[in-house]
Amino acid sequence: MLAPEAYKELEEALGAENVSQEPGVMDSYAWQSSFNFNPTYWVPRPEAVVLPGSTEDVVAIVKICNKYGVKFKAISSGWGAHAAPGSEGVIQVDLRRMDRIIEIDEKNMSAVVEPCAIGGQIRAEAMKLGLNVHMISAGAVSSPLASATSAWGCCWDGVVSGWSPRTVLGVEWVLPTGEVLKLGTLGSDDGWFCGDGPGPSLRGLMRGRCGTFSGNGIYTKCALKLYNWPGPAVPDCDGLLLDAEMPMPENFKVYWTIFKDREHFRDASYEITTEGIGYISLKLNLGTLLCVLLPHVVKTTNWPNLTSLRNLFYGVQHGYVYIVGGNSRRDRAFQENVIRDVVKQHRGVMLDLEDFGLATPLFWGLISGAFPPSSYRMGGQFYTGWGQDDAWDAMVTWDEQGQQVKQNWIERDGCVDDLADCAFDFFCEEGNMAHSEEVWFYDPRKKEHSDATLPINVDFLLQSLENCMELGGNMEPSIRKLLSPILGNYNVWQKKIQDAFDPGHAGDDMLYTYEQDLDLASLDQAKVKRVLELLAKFAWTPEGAPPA
Amino acid sequence: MGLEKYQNDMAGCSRCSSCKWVPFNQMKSWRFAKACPSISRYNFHAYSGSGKMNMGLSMLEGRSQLTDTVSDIIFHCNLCGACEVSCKIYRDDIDLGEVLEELRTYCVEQGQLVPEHMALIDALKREDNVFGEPKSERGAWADGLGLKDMNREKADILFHAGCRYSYDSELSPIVKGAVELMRRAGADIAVGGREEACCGGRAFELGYRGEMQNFADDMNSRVKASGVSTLVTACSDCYSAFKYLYPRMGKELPVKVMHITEFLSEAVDAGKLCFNRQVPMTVTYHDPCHLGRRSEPYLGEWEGDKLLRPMDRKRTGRKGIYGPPRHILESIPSLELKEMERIKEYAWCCGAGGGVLEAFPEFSAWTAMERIQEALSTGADALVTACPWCTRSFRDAMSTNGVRLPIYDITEIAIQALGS
Repeated sequence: MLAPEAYKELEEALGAENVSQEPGVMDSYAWQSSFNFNPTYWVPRPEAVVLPGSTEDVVAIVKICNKYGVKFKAISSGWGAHAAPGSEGVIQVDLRRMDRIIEIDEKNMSAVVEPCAIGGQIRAEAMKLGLNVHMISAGAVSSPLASATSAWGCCWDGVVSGWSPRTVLGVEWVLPTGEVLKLGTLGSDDGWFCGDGPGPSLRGLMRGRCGTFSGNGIYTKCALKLYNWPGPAVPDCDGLLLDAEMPMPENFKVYWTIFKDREHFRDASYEITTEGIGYISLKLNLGTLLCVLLPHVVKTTNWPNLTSLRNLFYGVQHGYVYIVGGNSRRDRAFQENVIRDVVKQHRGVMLDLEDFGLATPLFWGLISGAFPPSSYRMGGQFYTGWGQDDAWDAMVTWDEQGQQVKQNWIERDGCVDDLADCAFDFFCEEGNMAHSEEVWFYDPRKKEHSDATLPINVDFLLQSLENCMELGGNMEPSIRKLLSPILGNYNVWQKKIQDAFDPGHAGDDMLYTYEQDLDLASLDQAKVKRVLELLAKFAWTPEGAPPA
Repeated sequence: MGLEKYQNDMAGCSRCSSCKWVPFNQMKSWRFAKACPSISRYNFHAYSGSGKMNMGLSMLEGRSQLTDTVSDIIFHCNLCGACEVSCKIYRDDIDLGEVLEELRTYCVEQGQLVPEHMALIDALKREDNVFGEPKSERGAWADGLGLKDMNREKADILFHAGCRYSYDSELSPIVKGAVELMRRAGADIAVGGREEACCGGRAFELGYRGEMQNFADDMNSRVKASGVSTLVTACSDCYSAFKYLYPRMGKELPVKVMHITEFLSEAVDAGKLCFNRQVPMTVTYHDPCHLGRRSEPYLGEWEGDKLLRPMDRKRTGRKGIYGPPRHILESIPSLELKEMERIKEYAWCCGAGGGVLEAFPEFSAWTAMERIQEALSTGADALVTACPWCTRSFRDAMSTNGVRLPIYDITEIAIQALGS
């Protein structure tokens, strides 16, 4: 229970209109139906919600939290339980009023932004200058500052724009004590252009592998790298998404390459990408596309009786979409030729999607970041199975392993039947890294689906452990507790960092260092036993890593 | 059923925040990226379409109560429908606009009443108009125009002026111009005069559905008795009520319903109306919510699982009236139309809707000024619209804020363009 004096001080600092303890208002922050193991989808109601308008306001909030022994949790665009309080006794700091693009440095290709300048806004302003911003695959509504400083993510334009942890330059960081720390060149009063000095370079401590989700302070401004945009300054698009119509810029083309099997798909995609081809590249299969375009048709079709049609979808699942964006027509032609040659070598098929009327919605839907929420059409919500970042061939292997997990739950009606593997693959950092998520669609109103959220996650965990795959972001406190011992006891070290930066433990650390026991009783006990066996086998000892 | 009917809609919210923004592939700048006046002005998530659904679900599940604050948030909404347009790009199974309307009805049923709205409803009951002006003066705008009286004479078309045009003396010349345009196009027009009454749409929006049904019944009986084949109105609010709310309440009018822009656009195409005079002006056009996304025809109730509802059975805002006003403007010699960033089904609201103008004038003016700033950014000489509520909202907001931009109803421009 928040002390009345604390509430009064918040009101004095921010203005009464920017503070609320109204239960209904606070519950609007407590409803989160994605990335939530709780089948009711309610998370702990915050003690209060506050709306800071400046760094000074954030400092005041954090100091009040320290003074009164309550925690803070920042939220920006707010999709997912990871944006909400992880426990009782937390003030939700809604950064919505801090939404400015402070500057765009065209020459140095960077933008200084506040937390709630969303990707779509930054993209629109950057394009006017021939630039673009890295938006994670959550799309245009997501906050690039949040994913760069506090979370992680990557996107289908990762070939040209990297991934979110790599896009951040100078940072203004309100520490959990209320002090303001400026990272990189900003820390030596040299502007925003570099995150690694001269000045303090603490990116590893600031965000590590997957960010602290405001568990170690609140980031109030940062500079982001911008990237080349060879398209129109203000694209002239009519329509809202699937009905989009616009003249395709002449230096862009959209191709769908399809290969007969996973091996050819893997090798061909790698060859194309490491040649630096494509502005956007993304695994796409027909089943997924149909789910997004015509979900009611997919849901009302009696697929078990349409074996041959289903086989057709599986037959074309090894496909990759390339949006080729050249700086000139010759550049575009070069890229097209590379794709054509590689596809030919691997006996694949290369389709120009303009011939099928799909080029424009895909082109602009993917580039504008409008496409991702289409994933809600099948059931209302989606989850991702153990999103991984690793070498490309490992990710293609994970596609197959993830598909096995999901297929099992499709047959048990634990999630929506999306017809195909629906793995969500793309390259990052010029092909040196890749990302895969086994997206599954579910309906949070359906008990079978909500009850399956945790066991599906455990199945993905088991699949990763069995196959020695990458172990994802470990955001969930029970998963963190299980996995930290097999990953060098990383959370022990994270807690030491937390203790140093946050002696009052004012940050909501549920998504950072907190550990809790997983409810094993509700799970398949044979799987639980196997998970525990593997965890024991892989656990680090005081002497170091277990033998290979 | 009430709010319970929408439990699945509310529990289905993805919490993606799309409802706060214009459709992402139409986002053209930082400045004009927002869609919802309510969340844009007050910032707590509860003010967004999503947040209101979250609050509604919380109340239904008994987690929280309908308090003065919650009611205040529910009514601090223009019911402009922009949130629903953005939501429905991605969701087939959530009728966000209907949830927002139902929350208002729930407030009224629970006794959470807004004093200004109660006054409006009292005025409606007493004088059949939202201003409480004498019913006897309703038809005064048409005095001397020589129009037929629908209660005594037969005509092809009934012209419905609506409350705002009937009683707002600054705006009533606009409807005089509108009927002049219709006559020039050869229309045989009658008006209701003092017997015309409110469409009732505003009562529906304020949560008083029973009141609205009374007016719908009255309207139906008078239209039937008149023998007209077509009803034309220059008021977008009335048009939305006739086109969408009446059928939704099972009170569909037995005649063709047209907005004045549809009528004039067809007259231009048919060669019945010719704009000969040059109007050398650059204008921008504001799509009224009630003429655009909120006038989309009623498609009938979808029974069963809304996830199985096909695209052509969900209202997306795309089938509102967007083409006819633009066609009229493009038909006028020397007039140039420069579009704002937020147009058609994702247009920003004027601030007048949902009872906000009456109850929360500061919020209404703020919303209007946001639109005025967007219009000014186009460099246009004037803003043109097609709804008296929008015109009133813009003019009032500018006079309060010391900003100048000529505001015209589209019929005023069309009159200028008529040759002798």
